[in-house]
Amino acid sequence: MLPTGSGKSLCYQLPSYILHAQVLIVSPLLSLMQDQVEQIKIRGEKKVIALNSFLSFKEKKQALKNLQHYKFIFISPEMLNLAEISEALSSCSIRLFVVDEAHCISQWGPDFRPDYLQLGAIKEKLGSPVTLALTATATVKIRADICQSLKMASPDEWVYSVNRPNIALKVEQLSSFQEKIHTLKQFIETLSSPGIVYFSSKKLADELAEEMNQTTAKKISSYHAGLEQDQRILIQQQFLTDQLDWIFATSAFGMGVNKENIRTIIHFHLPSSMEAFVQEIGRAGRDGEKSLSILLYLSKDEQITTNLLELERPSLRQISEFEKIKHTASGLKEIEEKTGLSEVQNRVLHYYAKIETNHSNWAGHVNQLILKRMVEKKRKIDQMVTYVTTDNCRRQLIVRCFDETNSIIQPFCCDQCGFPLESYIGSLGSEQRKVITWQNRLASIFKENENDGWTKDY
Amino acid sequence: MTYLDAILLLCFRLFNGDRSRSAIFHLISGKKTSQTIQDAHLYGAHDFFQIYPHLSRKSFDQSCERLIMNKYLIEFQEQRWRVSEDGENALDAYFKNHPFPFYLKGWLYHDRATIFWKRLLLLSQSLSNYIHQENRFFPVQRDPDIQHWVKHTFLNWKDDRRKNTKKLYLELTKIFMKNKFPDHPDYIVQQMTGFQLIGQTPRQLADHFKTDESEVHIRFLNTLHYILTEIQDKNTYPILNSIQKDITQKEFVLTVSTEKTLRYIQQFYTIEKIAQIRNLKTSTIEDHIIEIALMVQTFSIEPYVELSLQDEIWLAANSIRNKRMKEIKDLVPRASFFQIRLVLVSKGRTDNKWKIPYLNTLDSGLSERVKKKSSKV
Ligand SMILES: [Zn+2]
Repeated sequence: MLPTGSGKSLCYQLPSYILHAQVLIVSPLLSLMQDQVEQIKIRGEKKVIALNSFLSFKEKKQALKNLQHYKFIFISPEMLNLAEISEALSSCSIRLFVVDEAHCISQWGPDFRPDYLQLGAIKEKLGSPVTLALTATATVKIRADICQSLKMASPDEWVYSVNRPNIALKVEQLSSFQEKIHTLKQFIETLSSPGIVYFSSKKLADELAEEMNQTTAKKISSYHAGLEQDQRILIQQQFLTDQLDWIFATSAFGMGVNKENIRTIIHFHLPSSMEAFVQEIGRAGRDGEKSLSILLYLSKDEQITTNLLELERPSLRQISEFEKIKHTASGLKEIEEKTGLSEVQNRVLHYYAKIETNHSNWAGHVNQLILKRMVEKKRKIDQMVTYVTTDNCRRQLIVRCFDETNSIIQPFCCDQCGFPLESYIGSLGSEQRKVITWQNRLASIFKENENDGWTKDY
Repeated sequence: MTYLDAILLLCFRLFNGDRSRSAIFHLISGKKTSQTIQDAHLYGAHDFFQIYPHLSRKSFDQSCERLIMNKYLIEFQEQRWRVSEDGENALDAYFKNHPFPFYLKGWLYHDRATIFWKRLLLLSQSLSNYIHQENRFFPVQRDPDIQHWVKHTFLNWKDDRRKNTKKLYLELTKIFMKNKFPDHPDYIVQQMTGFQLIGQTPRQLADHFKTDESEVHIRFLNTLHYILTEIQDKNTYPILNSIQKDITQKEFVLTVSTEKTLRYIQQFYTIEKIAQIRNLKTSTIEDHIIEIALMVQTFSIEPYVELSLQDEIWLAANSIRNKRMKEIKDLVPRASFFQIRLVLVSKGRTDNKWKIPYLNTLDSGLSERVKKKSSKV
């Protein structure tokens, strides 16, 4: 278990070169996978492939035929189910099996992915290669789950503290939505950037980004899964090259983004769990410099987070409907259309259909299981409420959540311990990056603006 | 009114209540079915084909609701809409203040424009990084076909890279500076990426120009289609032309089923015989033939409609305002509906009526005025 962005990918890239070993990396998010592949390619490594639903039929066929020639094979968990894939994989000699974001394996984790549960069986099919499970945030319970699911008997565990001493923690209690927006705007204008503001609503992220981009001197854009890929790439790259001051994002933004100088992370809504929160604030200050986390809290905010959770839960009626049509439906899409289930709900129910058999009242039973998960998820939200309302040190509370017992006393700790917010104020009057004229832009792109030698060669 | 609203009004005007709202959605989002492709040509709306490829049904419906609420559309039959007097006036007013997209050629360019643009973006980024002596960068295009083409071109150019970079720069500048260039070059150039200079997204451009994304998109597309037309002159624009010269043959993309039918037609099978062999309805085979007539300019419809009947149908079609098939049928009772459709689509390939009412603004210099106005930020 390593903090976000501390070079987890090195843990499998290096051994691969030293041992000349072929590596299979299971990665849960398509965008993350694409980024990882591009990062390896940028290094000059060509023998890398991502097997995911972006591939066309032709590309997939081509890739599978030559699979044994790739050094790094990235794959999404749902692809591992396909017969043609496991056949192609059996022709390879995978010597290192990597599960990225391994906490997705745990039912108790915030990002549970049912597809991850079969990884243990797949590992055995591959001849039980050396297995590396990577995650940035995991409690003792989740770690136990990971070991069990991946059939790791007595694994070596490297656990790093969740504490990031260079990130100061602050909660801002507010009394109205208007005040929240007003406060956000003040922080955006004064605090050090680059920074990320996390929202749980795409729409709000879009609207506030547009409004504040126009009314403040800062360059702000929104980023979420609803944008087309081309736009997402541009915004991510603008942020990486410091052409943007702030990104207003949903949790879709951040994984796989290697930016060292992020100074401030603001949460506009209450995160759904301490794991998610720690992962998101962990994107700040990777360069080791002083950084800041601010959570904006309006009393009853937890209700919004809980409501979003409730929306994720399939109803008993939908579960029954699913049971009725699951054998006759021609595919996932048809089930989703007929039952109104989301893609994730559909996957969860398929998983339960596989492991929970022999129940006279299957739908009722599964409904109970799902309700139990909801209770656990609500407990996680309560943990965040405690973080917000505590009178004690917030840092101490975070490390306790992850079963760490060390006590921490440090300067610039949290607002309970006290720290001067002024030391996180950004350089005032940060020069406004205007859109340059098309003539100048074109000249810069093609280096026609400066007479520095090569034009003379021409 | 947003730009999308205005485009929809233009489409509603062309379809004149003959088709449902969905037909317009399929047209501008570019659904490749025989029905949509036929509609596009039957009603002279092919230039609008796939001009909003990423449009969601939700945004489309919202736009329609807006038009209905403002009474720009009237429902004269259930689920059948026509542009009202108010709608016509609003449309005229709108295009007095916004450039009219004269150069849109959706049907002709939809695939080619997309590929050309993606190649141009990635090629410029690659060349820019190259001349800035940087060989590591994140490609702004992830499509493997595009990456492959750019890599291939880049390697091919080898010793000519600097020379060709300069040429590309000069060709782009030349085209942007043309008097006839239809809009502000910002819509193209600000989206381009170079060494440590990442392109703006359409949304950011909309923010910058204080307009809506649907306007940015069409103004961009209009200039892109203009550029594609211009660069067919390969002596003046050798580099730009080379970016798209291999795409041309992809123009006739038939659906798989139509492709099969075409093979039988080439062996001189009759419609009935093909239907029998393929175990399909004759009406389905007829739909395929219509699709082929649309796609393949050289496809002769004579085996299905003799020349004198073709003339008769076309004459009848032009004598009534709306090319309604039933009315044509009444005038030419001996023609079947299939024959009427076939004649309409094959003759409709060059129909430009959607822009005729605005042609006067093209010469009066109005577009120039609009251009200046909206580029001042
Ligand atoms: Zn503290």
